[in-house]
Amino acid sequence: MKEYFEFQNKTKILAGKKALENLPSEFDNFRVKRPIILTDRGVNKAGLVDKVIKACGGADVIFPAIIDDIPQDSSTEEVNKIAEIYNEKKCDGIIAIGGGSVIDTAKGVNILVSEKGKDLKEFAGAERLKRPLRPLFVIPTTAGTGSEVTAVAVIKDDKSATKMLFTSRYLMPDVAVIDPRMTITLPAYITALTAMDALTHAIEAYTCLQKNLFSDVYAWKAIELISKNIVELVKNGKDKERRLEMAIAATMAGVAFSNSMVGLVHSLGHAAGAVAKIPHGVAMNIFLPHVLKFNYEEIKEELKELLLPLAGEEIYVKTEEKERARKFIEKIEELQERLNELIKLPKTLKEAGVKEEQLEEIAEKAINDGSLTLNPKDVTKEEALRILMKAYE
Amino acid sequence: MTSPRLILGSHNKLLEIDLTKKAFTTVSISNEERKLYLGGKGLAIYYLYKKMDLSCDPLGEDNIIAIFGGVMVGTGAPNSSRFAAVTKSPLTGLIVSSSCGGSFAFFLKSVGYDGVIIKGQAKEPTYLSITENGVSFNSASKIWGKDIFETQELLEAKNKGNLVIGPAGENRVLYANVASGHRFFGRGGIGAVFGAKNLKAIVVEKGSFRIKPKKEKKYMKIKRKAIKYINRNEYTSDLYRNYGTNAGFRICNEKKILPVRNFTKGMSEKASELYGERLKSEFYKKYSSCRNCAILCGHKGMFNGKLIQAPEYETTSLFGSNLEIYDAEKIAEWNEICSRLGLDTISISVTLAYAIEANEKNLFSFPLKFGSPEGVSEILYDIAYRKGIGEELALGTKRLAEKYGGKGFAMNIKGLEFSGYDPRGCWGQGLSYSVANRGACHLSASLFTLEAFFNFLKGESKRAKAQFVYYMENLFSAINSLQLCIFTSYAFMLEAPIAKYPPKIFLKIFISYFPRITQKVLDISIYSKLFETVTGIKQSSRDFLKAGERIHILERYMNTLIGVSRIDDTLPERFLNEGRESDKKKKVVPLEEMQEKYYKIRGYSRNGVPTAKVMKKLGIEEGFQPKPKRIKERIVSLVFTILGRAMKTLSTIDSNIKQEIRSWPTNFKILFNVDNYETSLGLLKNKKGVLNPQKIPEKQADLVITFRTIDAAFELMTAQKGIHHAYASNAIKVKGDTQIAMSLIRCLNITETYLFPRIIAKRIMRKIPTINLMKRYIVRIYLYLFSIPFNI
Repeated sequence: MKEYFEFQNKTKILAGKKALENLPSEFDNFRVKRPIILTDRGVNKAGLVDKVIKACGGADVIFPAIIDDIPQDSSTEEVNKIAEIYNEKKCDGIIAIGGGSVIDTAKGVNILVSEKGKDLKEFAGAERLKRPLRPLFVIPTTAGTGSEVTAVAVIKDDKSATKMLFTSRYLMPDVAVIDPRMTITLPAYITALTAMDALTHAIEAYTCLQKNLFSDVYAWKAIELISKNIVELVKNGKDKERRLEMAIAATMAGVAFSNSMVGLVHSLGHAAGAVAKIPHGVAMNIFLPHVLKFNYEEIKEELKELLLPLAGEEIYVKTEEKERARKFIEKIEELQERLNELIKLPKTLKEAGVKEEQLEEIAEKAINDGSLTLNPKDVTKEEALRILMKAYE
Repeated sequence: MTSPRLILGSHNKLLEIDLTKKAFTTVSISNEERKLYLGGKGLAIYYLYKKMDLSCDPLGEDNIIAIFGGVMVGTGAPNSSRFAAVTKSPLTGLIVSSSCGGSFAFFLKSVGYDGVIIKGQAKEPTYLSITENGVSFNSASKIWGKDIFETQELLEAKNKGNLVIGPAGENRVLYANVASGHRFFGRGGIGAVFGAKNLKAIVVEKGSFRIKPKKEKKYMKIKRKAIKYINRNEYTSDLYRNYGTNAGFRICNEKKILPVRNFTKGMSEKASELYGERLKSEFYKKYSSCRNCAILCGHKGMFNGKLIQAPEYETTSLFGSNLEIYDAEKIAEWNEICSRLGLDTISISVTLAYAIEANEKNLFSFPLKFGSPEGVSEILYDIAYRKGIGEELALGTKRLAEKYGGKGFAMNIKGLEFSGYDPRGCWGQGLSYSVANRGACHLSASLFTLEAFFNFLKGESKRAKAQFVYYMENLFSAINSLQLCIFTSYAFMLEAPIAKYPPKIFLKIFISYFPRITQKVLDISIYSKLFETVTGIKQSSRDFLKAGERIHILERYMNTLIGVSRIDDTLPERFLNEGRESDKKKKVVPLEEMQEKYYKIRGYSRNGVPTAKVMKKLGIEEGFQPKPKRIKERIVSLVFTILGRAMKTLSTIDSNIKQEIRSWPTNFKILFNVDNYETSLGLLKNKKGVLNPQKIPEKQADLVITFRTIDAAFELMTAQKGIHHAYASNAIKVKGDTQIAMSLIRCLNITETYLFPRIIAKRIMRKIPTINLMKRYIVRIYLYLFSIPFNI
């Protein structure tokens, strides 16, 4: 039993059919009259922004600007540019419609416009924000990052080309809208990789050092919903019911890891992303079973429990108690296999295009990644390299 | 001084002063901005919209004061010295604009500027000197604490342009004013904003710039016409010139719109003591008006052996009849004290009236009494210096009533105290007060002039009021931006042939019954022609009015961004519920209906926010706005009607419904509505126990059931969802007695059982009320054939 822990989720969640239609009453609640809309080209082209605007019919709001050219990687240059438009157009809130990069960009913009700052770097790091920010409404269009409920943002500094991490409870969005219409057009590949990202959030939240009883509940249910829906959704993306469950699961996983943080899978993933540019979800998918094996002794009790939400009652009961943790990892590997068959989601670093000579650098970066702090087991560079070698082929 | 420098047309230069940095710079205005926002109030509002953080603390460093003259300043046209100040008011928290007739703008133009913008906050008490060479920041340590007249003397400001605050402004009394000579920016506490910026005064030396109108010949012609009209209009050339604004005292008393005893009576038998006619014969000695004035409504008089400025109507009525003190010399003395200390006579006197009544009602301990002048002078000093009880009175009626109660007789709207016209005798003025941008202001549309002074509109009638509030607001906003004195409108509008020569009864009928047509033919071209001939920028009367509309809407929009919405557009309970002793019929102001019409004309949403459509039409700005879902709204509206009529019938024939309704109080009012949409269903339980569908304003409803979205209302009303589903998915909000709400839901279920086939009823109800099959069919047929189509 942990002696003391904290748990917070201030984000109001509107979820379900026609969730978007309730946005106007949230604008009223937060007295927002001129929100800026941030999104990316793909989302806008898919007609999702129009859907949001249409759903808000009758609201007393004017959208003074719609910014739809946010790139894949949130960057300081982009944030500065948008903050200027925000101020010039006298906006009083932010609506982010998109995936992780749009949401993180929105968080960065929110820091600048609320703190009336000029340079985002001043606020980088942990708990540098001193007061609540402007209202932020997030409408995720992928079911993965959980950024719609987290207190974190990652933004690239254009000058030094490094990624800056921002953590503060004030970064938590005010409202997250989970509407199945927003993820229905997501391609199978992206569906799979974002789902694996969410699954990793939930598993790490449940197994790493800062876990607590509240985050456990969110993680548990998230694992159950992801496991239940991931393969079916990859096969048939039009299933609204499953889309909604998956989106909710991703948000739940977000709540869980925002409070109990993540571990080694993420350290390796961040490093591999930085060195070899492999997408975050792909990295999560590759590293997850290897890290579970590495951490095995420390987390086997948790894994035993998690077999139930992951594999369902029948398998759980049929599996002998001492075998359950192994079974859990097996099931994850099965899932990896299945996704590889269905849509060629890489399960090794080699398949993902990483070169062998990059492993050293990835290992070096990984052991300096902040998320390692809460991994249940300490990691040396040699150990990290060994995991990477295993994950390579 | 070098030879005069000529400004051809308008100069389009502003002086931006930063008190924090002790720096200044020049800002230019484009001709486009000039055409859209004219000058004065309009440009100042536009400037603040662009540059100010609207969420700033009015008494903080980020508030900005924009003091702009118009293009008429310095041209010598009649009543052309006026200039405007716009800032965020500490009294209301909203945008306040104020107009002043001193000579500041005239001097400012002579050094080459149309206006000054004051930003930041000085560390030490400061006064500014402006010359052609720029601005100097001087220590005000020697004048800080001095009253307004002393300060003007010490700064040798008599032949300079000046703006000065008194102790009230220094001490941040929320309704402190700013003086320019003996004229003031009276309302909304601009003096406190000066004080908070540590700015005691601004002086402008005479410079060498001189204005030459672009089309001088035509300008001279228009100017002559303007003077001619002023000199022959009854109000401008006789009543106001002779008796000052106190000419209104007799009229207001006769029309029963005089504020008496904190607005409890509309008239008084002693009122003649304060009639302008009496003040003229006993006290007035000479004119003392604004610079360049052709009307001459301001007077100096001999009161208590001293030649001092005579009080204006608002002061005489609100210090006088409203406190039941009919002593002109006392009132003149208090007016003089307020002028020295820098207190707005309207807000202060209305605050005193509140405090006296609150004391009578044992809410607040206060030594003053209605009808007694004792202690008034002393309390004015206490307020200005924030001593003792003055500390709290310095905050105005709204804050006092929030703390001590008595909101119903705290005579303010949005925090600004009422001026001297009781709206129960002039309903259009009531509407105007409720929607005026700066609060309970009589100068936003001055409907009382049409209702009581000129008798064009019947006071106690709703007819044409919304249209004329709209029109006059646009006109006055434009005049205040041109900028001339709004009193000129009496002459310019009414002396133009179209209004002067037809018999008055014609005009009256047209104004009342064809307001929009009348507004199109009324001739206000003097204003637009003055603008055009001075600036050379083309402008029609229509352009001029549209500029006024643009300015008014932008100001409103800024206020809605700060937080104003429909609930703030109201009148104190006293005017909405209490009849007066002076009325036999005990009339109150029927605000709701007039307001609804006004919103539509203005292009406001249901919540009172200007829509993107109207903003775009006026060229304020473009933005995306989601379109209202009109089809769903119509269908919901239709079902509301059906439901209302069905429930009315059923409440007389169905025993279960009758039983339910029996437990509700008589006159119980139920309202179904939808957030952000107009459609609603009101049901009133009448004395016979019948539910009558009718319009019910939200404020008056006992039980309000609100759908959060039109989509949810649509689903429920088209029987796709039951009321318990709607409740479970947070789609409805209930305000009021939950027991009656439960009873109402049972009634709705019974009604729906009659209306819908079983198969639908089953889907939307957890349990269908048992009704005999025969009865169900007979009643259903009756409902669909008679009740619903014919409302029987």
